[in-house]
Amino acid sequence: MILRELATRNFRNLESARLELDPDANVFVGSNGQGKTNLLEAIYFVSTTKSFRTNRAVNLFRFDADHLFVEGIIESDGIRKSMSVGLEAASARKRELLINGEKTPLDRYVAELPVIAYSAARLEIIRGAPDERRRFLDRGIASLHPGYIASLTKYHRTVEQRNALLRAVADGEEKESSLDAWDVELATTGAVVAAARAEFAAILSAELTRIVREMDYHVDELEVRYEPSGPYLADRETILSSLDANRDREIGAGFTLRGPHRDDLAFRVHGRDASEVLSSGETKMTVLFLKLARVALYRERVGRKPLFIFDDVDAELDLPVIQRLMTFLRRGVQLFATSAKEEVLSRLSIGPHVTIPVVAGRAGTARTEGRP
Amino acid sequence: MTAAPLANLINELSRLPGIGAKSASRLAYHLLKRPAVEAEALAHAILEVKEKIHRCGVCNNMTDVEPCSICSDARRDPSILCVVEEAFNIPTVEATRDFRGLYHVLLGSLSPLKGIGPDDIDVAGVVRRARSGSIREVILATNPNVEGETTALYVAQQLRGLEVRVTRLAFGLPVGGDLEYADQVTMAKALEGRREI
Repeated sequence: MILRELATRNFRNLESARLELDPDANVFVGSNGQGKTNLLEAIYFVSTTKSFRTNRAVNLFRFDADHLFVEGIIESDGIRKSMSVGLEAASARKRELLINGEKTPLDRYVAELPVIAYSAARLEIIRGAPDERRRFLDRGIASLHPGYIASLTKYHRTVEQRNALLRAVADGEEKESSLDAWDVELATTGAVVAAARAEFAAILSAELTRIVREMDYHVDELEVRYEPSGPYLADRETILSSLDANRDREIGAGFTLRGPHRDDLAFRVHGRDASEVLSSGETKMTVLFLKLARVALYRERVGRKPLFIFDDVDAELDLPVIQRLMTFLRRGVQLFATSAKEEVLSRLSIGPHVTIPVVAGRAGTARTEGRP
Repeated sequence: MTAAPLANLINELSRLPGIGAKSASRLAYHLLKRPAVEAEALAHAILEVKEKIHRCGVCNNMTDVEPCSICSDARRDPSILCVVEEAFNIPTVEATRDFRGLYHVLLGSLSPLKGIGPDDIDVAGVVRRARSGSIREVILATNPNVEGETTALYVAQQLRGLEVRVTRLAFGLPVGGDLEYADQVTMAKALEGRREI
């Protein structure tokens, strides 16, 4: 799948316009604050309906705009389709998702144009709270198995219902035995989520090791391990007896103490917590390698070419590594990158690409480079 | 400013399931445009169902006779009981013409978030009928969502120990569906419930 065109209306500071994109690589250049990253964000948004910089949709609207709209024209095997996300400021949680003008459910919409993004905000994968890592895991799994989103939703719904019941039991409004049925449902849906996460963590870890070696990077003893909360990888009887053993504590707490909603993914270097050992530059590289591992897995398992978003190519990354990264990426993604330093770019051999200058939210005339 | 009687109608309509403020207003203006006889016919139909339709004392289905026409149909098989969440699920099962047993309507599903527990739905009615002796099989046809699933599990637990076969509607991939989009919980259940062909 290739993104051929992008059109935005009222998205951040971007001028309402239609932009043609290169099927191989697009580099947005310009000074800071001109809107380079906003373009990457719009691409990410039309693909995933979310932003990689903010969880608050209100931040995406142009000042005082009451609606926003982003449309992409995508192409696969010569067939073009349009996909678009519309939002109204008054109810930003409600998204209107269209493919070829037809309303489309979220799971199908996001499976259409897979995108993997790297930006400084992604460093939270290593430094942030466990929920960042769960999100990273879940996004990775969903890109390989679109149906995973529905399984995860079912699990979270079960936890919410069960938590409400735990409180009702604590208050004496319901009998304790009414938890039995919810425990069985929790064990079933939780086991599916845990199994998917364990499998993904294992293949991701193997792929990451391979990439770090190929990139010839010095932090080579990096280990990624899935740390499940509760015995959800065990058989159903074990899960149920553990729920049973913890029942009084959970009624006391008023919520479900263990389960995939409390999972974590551990990053370790020589057995020590990566967030405490890695320098800021090393953390950036590690996150970038994780993203490359996702690209490789996606290409291998799904057999399609994902979009890769690479914000601020030249920020604190060293040139030889960037060069190896570019070579790696050229093998199998449609690249969208930003850079504030054109002179850094000029020393890289990126291969055929277009350079698009961005000034005050407006994309200028594209220059084709590296093509005969 | 909307005239008070019109605002009142819009407000009443918007309390109906699936009707938001916009739809309610569109319906109200539509009714205003149509001749008075149509409005009277609608009002009459609404009052008539409230007056003549009630829950069947046996199965909770909506009926104008007691017991309902399904419960009193001698051609049906009284040894099989199909348990559904709502009365409007019955026509769906009936449309297949393959089911010739009887029904029991639970009047909802378990949902602690809405404060609905086992005593708020008619599980007791299912257990009472299963105990009566004439029933050999109870088919649990609750919805395939988290709440429906758990309700089925709960009813099954309450029937444990009785001489009754308890079955759950088969899960699986929607006919005409796409394997790629099947969620893994559904897939796991479809695998669990697989059978030879």
